[in-house]
Amino acid sequence: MLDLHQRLQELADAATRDGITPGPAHAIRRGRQRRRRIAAGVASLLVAAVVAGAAGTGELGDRSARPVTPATTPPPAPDLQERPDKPRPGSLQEDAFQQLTSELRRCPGGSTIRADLIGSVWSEKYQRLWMVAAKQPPAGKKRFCWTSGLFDATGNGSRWGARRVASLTAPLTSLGGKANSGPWVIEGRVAKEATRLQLRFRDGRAPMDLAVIDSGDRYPVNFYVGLFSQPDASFQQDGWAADILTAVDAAGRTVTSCRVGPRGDGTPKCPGN
Amino acid sequence: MADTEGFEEFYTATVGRLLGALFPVTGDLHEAEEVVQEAYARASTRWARLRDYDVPEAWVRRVAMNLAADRGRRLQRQARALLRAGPPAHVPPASVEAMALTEALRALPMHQRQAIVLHHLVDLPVEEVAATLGARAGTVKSWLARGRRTLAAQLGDPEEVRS
Repeated sequence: MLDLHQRLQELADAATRDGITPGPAHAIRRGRQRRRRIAAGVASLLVAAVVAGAAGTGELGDRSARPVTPATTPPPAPDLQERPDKPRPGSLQEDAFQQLTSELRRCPGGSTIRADLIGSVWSEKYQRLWMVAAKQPPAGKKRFCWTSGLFDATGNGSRWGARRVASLTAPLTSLGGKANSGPWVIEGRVAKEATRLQLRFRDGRAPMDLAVIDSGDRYPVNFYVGLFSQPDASFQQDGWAADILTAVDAAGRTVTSCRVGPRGDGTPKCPGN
Repeated sequence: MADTEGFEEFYTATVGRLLGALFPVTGDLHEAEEVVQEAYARASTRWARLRDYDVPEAWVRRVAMNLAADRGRRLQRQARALLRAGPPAHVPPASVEAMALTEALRALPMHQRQAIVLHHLVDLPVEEVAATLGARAGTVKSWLARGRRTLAAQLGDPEEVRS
């Protein structure tokens, strides 16, 4: 009879006995070298992107002058690029998901219900990753937990904490705030029929399309996010610049609209949140 | 240094165990050492957050397992060149039985090998093996069954592989 555990343990013991590990100091040094290499690589890519952007300015200008097509499919949110790929080990995405998973342990069901990565988007402009994760409701319950976070390229992030959805009847909810020395964030959940979300501002700048994250069939709502900048002084004097949020369906009809400004404490909300 | 406070103790307490788990997966001790050290290097850069995890070792093990799979794929692509250069030197396993097991494990696809090691050596339940390897529990059960069958056949004990 073959005892698999015993024989594997024999192999493992041999490796532990004969193996050479250079020690923790070497691992720390190697980690720092790796971080420097990555930083250098990112810097090179940024330089290349700036050069390529400068070279393509004329073409981009022509493109923006074309008439806008009807919103039968959601247009890509400017700047925000969805990252549908599975997090790779050691990647920023993987790190961010671990942090969100940790938050979701506070939800009902604890660690018995697995956290789902709903989606993530990368902002080239702000060099930030925004990610949303959720847990399906326990058996017999209708509410579910979700959380989100904004992370810089080193994995440091701001998390908004595990939340319990109070009501699924509201077609649009909104939360917002400012990450440490980062952009302003507006995020929330939106009815499934909405394929496009547009944010208008009070300070006269052009409206911005937000990124809608499709949560698939397992969750009853989708999620969205938008990042923008504004002088800190304007927030203190008049509230933040975001004003009206409008959700539109695939046929271009308005699903719902709500005011997310002007005054507030940094967490403006659409009705029903 | 604050960012690496506690890392040395963590490393010392877990590195042997992790090396032991990676050796049967890679089938080559030097390869296992390299993968394990790289995983700890990555952990050191995130240690300020990892040390708050319930089980930081699980994160390092997961990274090491994925690195082993990545390196395995790269090595497959380089197989012809390696064959020209002759077989790589490796530390002999502890016994003839252990050597046979190493060879039998090498014949398994990487995901089956990883599942076998995580379940039967590290003693993780199927659900945790699934989470570590990014697969569904049912898939892991299938990998385990196939892996055990192949091992039993390779090791000349076709009907009786005790888990």
